[in-house]
Amino acid sequence: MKFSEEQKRKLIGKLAAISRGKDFTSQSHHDNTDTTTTIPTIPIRVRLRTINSVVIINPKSISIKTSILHMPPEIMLCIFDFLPSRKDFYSCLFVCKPWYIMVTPFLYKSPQIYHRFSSMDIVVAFIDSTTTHLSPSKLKYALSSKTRLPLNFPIEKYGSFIKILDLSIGSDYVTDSTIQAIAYSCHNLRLINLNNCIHISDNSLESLSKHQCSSTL
Amino acid sequence: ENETITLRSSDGIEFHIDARIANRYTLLNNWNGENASLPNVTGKVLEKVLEWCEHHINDPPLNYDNDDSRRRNFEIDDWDENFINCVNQDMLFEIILAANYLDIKPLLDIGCKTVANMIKSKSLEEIRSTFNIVNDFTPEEEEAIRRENEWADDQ
Repeated sequence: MKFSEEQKRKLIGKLAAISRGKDFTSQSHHDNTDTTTTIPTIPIRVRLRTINSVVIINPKSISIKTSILHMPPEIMLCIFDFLPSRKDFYSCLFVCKPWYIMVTPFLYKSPQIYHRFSSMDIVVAFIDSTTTHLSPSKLKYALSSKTRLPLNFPIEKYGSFIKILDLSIGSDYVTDSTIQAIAYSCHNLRLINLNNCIHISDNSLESLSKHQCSSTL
Repeated sequence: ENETITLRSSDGIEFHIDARIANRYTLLNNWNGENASLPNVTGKVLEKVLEWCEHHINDPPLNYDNDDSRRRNFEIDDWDENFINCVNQDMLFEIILAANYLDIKPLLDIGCKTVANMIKSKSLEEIRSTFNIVNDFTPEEEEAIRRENEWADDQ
């Protein structure tokens, strides 16, 4: 996955904010953090037993272990880039705050938003996003009545991460308003599969060509 | 004919290596010289990195610039797998940092892919314990992430 310079800068800025404890409102939970996770920046003076003199040693070369928490963001992005599946990205979201920020773009790069509906026995309810009387398990499978995207799918927030979109799996649900919402939010869309999407008209193609995504498609 | 160059690690250990190795990696080449030492790489780590470089001395020239997908789909060969499996986690991350610093891309990819394989197919708790990561989310924050990414949850 390629990141633009601006995206990289933003990401690194965000990570820095987290390490300063500004991005989340929670109280500090670092009390039991392993002491090996912080590298002191001041060289440590060590008296070596064998040689009777004081030498300056880079703190990294002694007792402090190098762990995944010492990897700079560009290396973490390279690592995440090798992960094969959505399931892996989903698990990584919850590992810790820096991972959450770094992994989100990967999760949304090519989202299979209709994957649940490939099995026939799932009942889909089209409901308004304000409806709350449905049980949580039913809500999980619900599509928004307006866009027919999965309910609460954060298309406006993360749409710009989406590069590839395959709508052929959920083609029965895709309408002109679905495409409109996608065209409006997915500024970096490169590839969209509209196979079998029989409910869409020329209006969909018009909105795709009208918005910013037309330059990347 | 066998020209050698000298590299010095941050802790002052000197390595005399075949000049052909340095020629493959621009940055190594730049560090050649009487007083040149690599400020960020210790002797222990540099030894492993150079062991890898030596084995790959006759590999075809590197062409990395514009083939992203081939890079992602590469397979780690048996020798590399054995090489990387023989080091502990601490050294694995040291090698990754050194490969990144010295711009040895194939070794960086092997390291990163190995770490990705350590993450792959694991549960959240398994990932945290593998890398000794402490959960820094509050239950409320976790719930917010769960809600936001509901569509991706397979459970």
